Amino acid sequence: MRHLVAYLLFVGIPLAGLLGVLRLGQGIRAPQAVHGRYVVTHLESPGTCQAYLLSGDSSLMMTQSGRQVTATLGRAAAVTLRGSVNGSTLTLAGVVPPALPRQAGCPAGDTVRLVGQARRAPDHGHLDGTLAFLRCADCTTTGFHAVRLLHAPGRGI
Amino acid sequence: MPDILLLLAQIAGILVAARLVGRAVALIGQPRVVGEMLAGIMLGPSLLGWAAPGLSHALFPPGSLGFLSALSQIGLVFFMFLVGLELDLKLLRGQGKAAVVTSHASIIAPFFLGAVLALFLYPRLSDDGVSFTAFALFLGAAMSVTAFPVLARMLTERGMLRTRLGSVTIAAAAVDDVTAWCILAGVIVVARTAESAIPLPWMLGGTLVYVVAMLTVVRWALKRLEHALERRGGLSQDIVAIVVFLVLASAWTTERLGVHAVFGAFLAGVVMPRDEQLVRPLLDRFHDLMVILFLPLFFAFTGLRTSIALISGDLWLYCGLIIAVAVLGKLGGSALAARTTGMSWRDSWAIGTLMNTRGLMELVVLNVGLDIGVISPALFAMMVLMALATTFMTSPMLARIYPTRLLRAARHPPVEPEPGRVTARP
Repeated sequence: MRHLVAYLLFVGIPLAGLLGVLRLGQGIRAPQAVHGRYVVTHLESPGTCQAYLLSGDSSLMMTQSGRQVTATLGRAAAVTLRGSVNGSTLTLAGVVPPALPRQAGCPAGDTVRLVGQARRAPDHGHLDGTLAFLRCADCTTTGFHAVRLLHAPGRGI
Repeated sequence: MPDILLLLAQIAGILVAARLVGRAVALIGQPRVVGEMLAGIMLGPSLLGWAAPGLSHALFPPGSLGFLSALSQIGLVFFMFLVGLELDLKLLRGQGKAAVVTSHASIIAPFFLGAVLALFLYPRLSDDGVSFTAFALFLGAAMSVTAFPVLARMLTERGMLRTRLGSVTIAAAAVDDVTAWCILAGVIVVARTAESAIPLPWMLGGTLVYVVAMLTVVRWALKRLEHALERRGGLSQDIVAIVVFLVLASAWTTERLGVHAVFGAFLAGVVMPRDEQLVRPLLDRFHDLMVILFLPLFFAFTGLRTSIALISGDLWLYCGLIIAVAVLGKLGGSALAARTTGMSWRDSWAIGTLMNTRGLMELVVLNVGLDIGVISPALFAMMVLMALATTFMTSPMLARIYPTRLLRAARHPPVEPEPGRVTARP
């Protein structure tokens, strides 16, 4: 009898509660998913540095934890940007490291800022945005369009 | 092609770090595995990448991690095979209702609390690419894991395996292990349904057929191995090759079915004949390679994926909450259930403390969660810290609950006179 009571108390009740929690959770909304690998398909008036950072297959990679987003730009994840997604608006910023190749023409130490709008699509996600430098007077603001690849490769088995 | 010089340097660096930190934590009475887990995190962006970014980039450039990942995953597959091989459900026999209630409570209580916590964490640490159901079920499953191998080693080292406390704990942990992996397989099916190329009925049906085939046909076929063993008088290289092939084929099948390779490997271990001539030599052959080489690689790979820098501000509060809920659910749930079945408070707390050990099994679960995208990198880092904290707290808590003098008494309980029988005084 004692074991039966213990079983009901510690197994039966939590099990019933679990079903309730799963039902309750259906009404909760999480931030829009923007993580994954993006391929930039269009660049508008690109500066030398923006073209360097946004070209190539692995040019834009985003990881996400709730609203918090981290993005890497360029080959070998040259620049890291951090920021957030609010609704469908993405705002990220980071500092250009000094280690980039000279021909990239990037203003080392300057802050690079990415603002974009993420859109859902049945097959892919899309991102329309701009990439700008805060202090570099000679640098232009570059618009871009990127397509999100839903199945990021290399995530392990 | 891998840069072989770099790969060798990586492996050497990982081995040295794992041995050194493992040895250091052993000095403060912690199991080596805690140090090895810690060494993995230290080699990642959380310490080496932060303190010496140049060295970190030179030793672990992002492009080189694929090979390290492949090696660690192969190690993980064989580790899960050994976990399945060591699993002995006969342990449950004779432990009665206390073990059944304790084991079930120690799964469902943290599972429930994990799901409740998901109500809070889902909008903060997840995204709408993951359904709430998958997120909550995964968090629940991750909370309910017990590190059976670590626990068994702790009980053996403290000489508690043959006590009633040890027997109930080990039996409950064995049930926990099987149940947690079954639940996790279910969670993966739920989580992967949306993006998998394999339709859900195929995934479920295929997995069910595969499990049944393994438990019947393959198990029957493996019985022939016992005859081969008898004929050859021991474990030959041919038999080892058959076993390795079975592990790889089983891991491949479950991965192909959309579940995960670790389940196939675990299942291959479970269906192996329990012949002492087979199990012990197999464990001996794999054990050293696993402990010295592959597990440190897995810990390092996990550490390289763990960025504690992602936890900042309020997220530290969430991390504390995760640890508190994990301890409350597992330790509290197991202890209260054991107490209700009639065990003493001391034994009940000891069972709860032991069941709360998550160790590397938690890391296996978390890596699966990150692989299938059901948890985010920040939540992964928090859960890794939870795994470390719950494993780290076990030894000191156990020493406090069960000091050596009481342990000795538990190992040699005084013989109680049977009712109605008069014993002669000395």
